[in-house]
Amino acid sequence: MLKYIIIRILYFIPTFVGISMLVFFLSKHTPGDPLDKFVDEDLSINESYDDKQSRRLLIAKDLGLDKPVFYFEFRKNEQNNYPIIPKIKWNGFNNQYHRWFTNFILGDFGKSYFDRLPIRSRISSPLKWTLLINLISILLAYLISIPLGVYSADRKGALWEKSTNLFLYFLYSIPGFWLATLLITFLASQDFLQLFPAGGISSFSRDASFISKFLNVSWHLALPIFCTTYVAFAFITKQVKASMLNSLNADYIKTAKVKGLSKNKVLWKHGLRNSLFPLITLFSYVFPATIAGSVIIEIIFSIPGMGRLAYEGLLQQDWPLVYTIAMMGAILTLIGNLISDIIYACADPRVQLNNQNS
Amino acid sequence: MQSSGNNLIKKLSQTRSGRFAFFIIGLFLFFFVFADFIANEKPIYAKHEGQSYYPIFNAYANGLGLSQIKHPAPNKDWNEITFEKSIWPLLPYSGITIDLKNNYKGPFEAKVKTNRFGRHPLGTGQLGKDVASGIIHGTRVALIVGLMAMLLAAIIGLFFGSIAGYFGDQSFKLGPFGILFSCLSLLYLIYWSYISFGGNEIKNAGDILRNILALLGIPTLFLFAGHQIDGLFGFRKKFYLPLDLIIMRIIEVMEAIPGLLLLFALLTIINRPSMLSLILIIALVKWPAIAKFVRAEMLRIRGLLFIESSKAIGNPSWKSLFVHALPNAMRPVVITLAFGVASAILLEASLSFLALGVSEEIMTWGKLLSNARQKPSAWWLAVFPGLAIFLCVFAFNKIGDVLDGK
Repeated sequence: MLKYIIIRILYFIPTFVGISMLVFFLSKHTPGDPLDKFVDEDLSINESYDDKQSRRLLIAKDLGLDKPVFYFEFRKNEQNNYPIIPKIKWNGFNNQYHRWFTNFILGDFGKSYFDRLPIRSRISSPLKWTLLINLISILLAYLISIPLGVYSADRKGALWEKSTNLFLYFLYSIPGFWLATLLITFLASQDFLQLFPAGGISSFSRDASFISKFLNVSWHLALPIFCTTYVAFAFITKQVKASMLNSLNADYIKTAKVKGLSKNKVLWKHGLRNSLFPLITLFSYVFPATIAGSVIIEIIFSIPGMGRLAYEGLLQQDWPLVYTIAMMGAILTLIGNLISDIIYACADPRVQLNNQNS
Repeated sequence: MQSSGNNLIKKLSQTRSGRFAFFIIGLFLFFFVFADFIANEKPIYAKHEGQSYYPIFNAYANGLGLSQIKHPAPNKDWNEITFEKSIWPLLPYSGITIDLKNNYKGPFEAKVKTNRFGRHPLGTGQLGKDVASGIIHGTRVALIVGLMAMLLAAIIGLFFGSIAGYFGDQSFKLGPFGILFSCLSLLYLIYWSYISFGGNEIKNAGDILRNILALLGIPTLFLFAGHQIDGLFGFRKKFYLPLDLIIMRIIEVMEAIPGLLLLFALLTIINRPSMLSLILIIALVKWPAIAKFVRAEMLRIRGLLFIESSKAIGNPSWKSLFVHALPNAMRPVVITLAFGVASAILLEASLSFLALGVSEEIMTWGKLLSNARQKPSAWWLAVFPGLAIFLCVFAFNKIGDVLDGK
């Protein structure tokens, strides 16, 4: 088991390096010179051109921008006029990518273009909010959809099953940002019902008791969590139903029925247990999808999460912030995949690495 | 292809929701083609001082470079001129037409009438832009971006997915020169990207298109050259190139970054997104899903008898793959494409909702819906544009389901 986990973790290393290279490649192709963002255009100081260049050089040295970009580089061969044949140069480990990547692993995400402060200080609290919202949503989605899926699999063909089917189908097609806008318009604005706040995460005074703080935050998060939950909810219910229908046709269910077990016991103990496995792997799909969906919900409800921060970064042309959050999202996805793999391996010992055709 | 198209219509018309989906798509396609004739600030036909004008056709001809713009009074809007005779579109606004006197008016509120303006069946948004005509003109961006992005994604996904699934890890054999050339092609790709924009920014969408073409073309060229040289010297093919492993790692990298965050990261390298760059970006985000489906289907097909026989009669592997195996793997691709179009339309709408979409002066559903955020009391701005997005997404999802046989 431990061996399986270690090998699984090792599998993620090339993927993570690939992601970092993709992000670094993008960061090297953004419009504008990154150095311009860190050098002040101070017109009051009568600075000569040379002085300014030397100041730029100092800042570049500080940020590591004077180093070569990658481990190796190609240059146009100056001797001949054909740019088709490159000249390869090895740069060693003292390069920008190496510096950025090692710093990233050590928790130094670089400096923001906007306020020139380390990005790390801005990212920890949004990470908490995003994780909170997403984990609650996924938990809720699983808690509601498993009973619903089992129930409608049991009642296949009945009117109730058909109507929930249609309802789930509609739910699945509703764009999250539309639902969020509708909810704000009809449940959180003065012209209609003002039941919920239109945005933000809390509005309590500092000396409020823990319970009232908790209630206040959950009052604020009710609408956003609803918006991030429902897609996952519709999707998981569909899968639970399909998986249940599959296992209800199996021989052991017939045996259990013939044995004279009660209907509930057949359904919940024998049926559900065996259709739980696909639900575990579902987590590795639902988790990144929910994070991606929560980005726009965070922006609409002005929740200070990662999605909103990335959006602000994009609007303020604060590229390092955007890339850091993209990397964070990737890390979360990889961790989610890892967790679902490990749970699956625990639940079903037949799983081995070489059987996994991912 | 013809029969499968007929089949689809037959299947769709069997259920009520299928007929509904079919009707919705037909309606949006109608809007897509005739948007300029249903909602436009110019008349279809007008007679002014004895001279006839066909402003909408005139604008089309001018766009094609066939004729000059004809205008009876160049310093006036069409709306302000009184004509002897004129035929107007159903709505005299083109989605972005400004009607300042009717700022944020609901569908049932009284509106200020000026000339032909003042009829807004679904209300108005910021600066009195008409919601109904915005929705009609918005179908253009939504359908073009949705369909073209998925077409492009399908091409990339089909290519990579089919070679990954067909060859797997152990059947793409190369001789020594083949291996050498495939390594060289990787290095050359990096060099190519260096000379094409080493230090320069990507200026327009054409640059991106060139990159994608090179990305596909350079390895193919190198592999082909290596193959020829091996053939020339008679080297035995004894090395495996683990295509499946490589392509699946690339897909894993692309899929690890959650959708919208990857889009944000890709948007950083574009100054002002145009329709073409949006299509390219969405295609870049969407191809891994299609490639995965094609690969899974190929894994099944490559073991079937007709592929074995195609190999046995001595067809080259590219012919067995692209002529015999690929057409049989199209069914799941078409299903994923239908779902993919829905999600691409959704992505485009969310981007323009966040003011990151097409920056040109084109009305989109997302832009209309985002108006509701500035004025939450304008319920018609929240309901109608969102309904258009929802119906379109619903219809394409339904087509996917019908094709899937559910």
